Amino acid sequence: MRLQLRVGVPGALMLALAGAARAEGLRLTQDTLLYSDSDSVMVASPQLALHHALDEGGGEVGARVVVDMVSAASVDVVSHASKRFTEVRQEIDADVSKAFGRHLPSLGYRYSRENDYWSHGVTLGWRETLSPDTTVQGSYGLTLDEVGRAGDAREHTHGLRTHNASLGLTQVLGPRSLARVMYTLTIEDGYLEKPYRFVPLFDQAGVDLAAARGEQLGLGSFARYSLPERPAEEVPDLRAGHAFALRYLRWVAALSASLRLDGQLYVDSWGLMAGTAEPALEFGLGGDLELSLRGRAYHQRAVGFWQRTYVVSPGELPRYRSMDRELSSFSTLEGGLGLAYAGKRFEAYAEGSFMNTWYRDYLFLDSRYAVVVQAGLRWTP
Amino acid sequence: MVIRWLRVGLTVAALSLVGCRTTQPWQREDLARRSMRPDGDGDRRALRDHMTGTREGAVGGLGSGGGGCGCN
Repeated sequence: MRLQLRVGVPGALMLALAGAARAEGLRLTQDTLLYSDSDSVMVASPQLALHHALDEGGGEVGARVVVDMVSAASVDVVSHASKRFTEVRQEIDADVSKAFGRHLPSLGYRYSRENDYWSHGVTLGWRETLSPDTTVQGSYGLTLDEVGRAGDAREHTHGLRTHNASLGLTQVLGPRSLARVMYTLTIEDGYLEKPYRFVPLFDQAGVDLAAARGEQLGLGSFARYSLPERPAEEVPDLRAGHAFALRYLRWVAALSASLRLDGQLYVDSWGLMAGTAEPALEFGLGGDLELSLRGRAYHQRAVGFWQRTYVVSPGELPRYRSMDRELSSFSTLEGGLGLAYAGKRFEAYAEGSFMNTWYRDYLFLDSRYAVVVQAGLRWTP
Repeated sequence: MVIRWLRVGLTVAALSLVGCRTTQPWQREDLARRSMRPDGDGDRRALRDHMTGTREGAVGGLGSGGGGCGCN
């Protein structure tokens, strides 16, 4: 019953969007992503969106509804002696843009909620066509989040403000290629911890005892050697991140395919550094069919205060401490393929990928593999 | 490492701008193909970006997922 009520509001909106799509000039899209990994996490994310073009300069009004249904018994959960849980996240987006000559201003609003997380976001965007080959774009977004624990009253939640500003340039390089460069600044200010996460502490005697017994500290053994107290996670309240991204697109006539190369470098004030490379090829198979091949490599270096095991002296408490694996050092490799059909009024695609992640310094997990399947339909009435 | 990547990125960006001349409308057949759109399919991308964004430490760049935690 509870799940039905949670899905009810987005469900009604989806039906309303589907009804509205019968009008002319609209485009209705439906996508579903399924994720499953070896760490006992499963996610199903259906999404419905509606777009209506307002002009030929790229202006449109749109709305999007997405629901994440999560079932998890990951090491994060198991290490706290908790059982598998399920939860639902709902998100609603609305945006509008309108062309004024060379300029395309836009405004967007987003709301998402879980049983312990509420988020409102507003984004102002701007795009200007400087020449037939050159476009610049910028945006500023402010997100206000409330973070709490399931069952807590809203007045006991913590606040988080996120400022996001981006500046980009898209340049046609020739009849068969173009490139985009983008810089994004993200400033997070507020509660950045996870309220359910507690950090095991060790003393030197416990670590030495484990070593003497030839035991590697991990998920199955940490509780035997850690100290009785397990304080809550603590991270700095302010985080500033810089992302530099490059996209290169080229039509390869010999293969009748488009080549897409994405790269990104990220650094932040916590000392985290990350690099991403994502090549993709889309082949025309004849008719309205396309085959795509995609790869992705991601690597990050841990934040400065990261430790696999926090070893302390009596009475000592590390100022910053975390067991958030997304702050540790790890690498991910992903490969996948997809098939798409693009008719005049109807389009469809399906794609699947396999990814493996290697954690270099995470107490509870050394590696994880995941399967991701995504499919979608597009309809222009 | 960071400096080296920055140099590569800036060099590519600079070459992009310096080496360009206007592409005429009759030369844009390949640029007009669906798979050559620099924004790609936004709705298709949004789901995937949110999935990766909640599992990696980096944010921003060419695409980032919606708000909310969605972690685990």
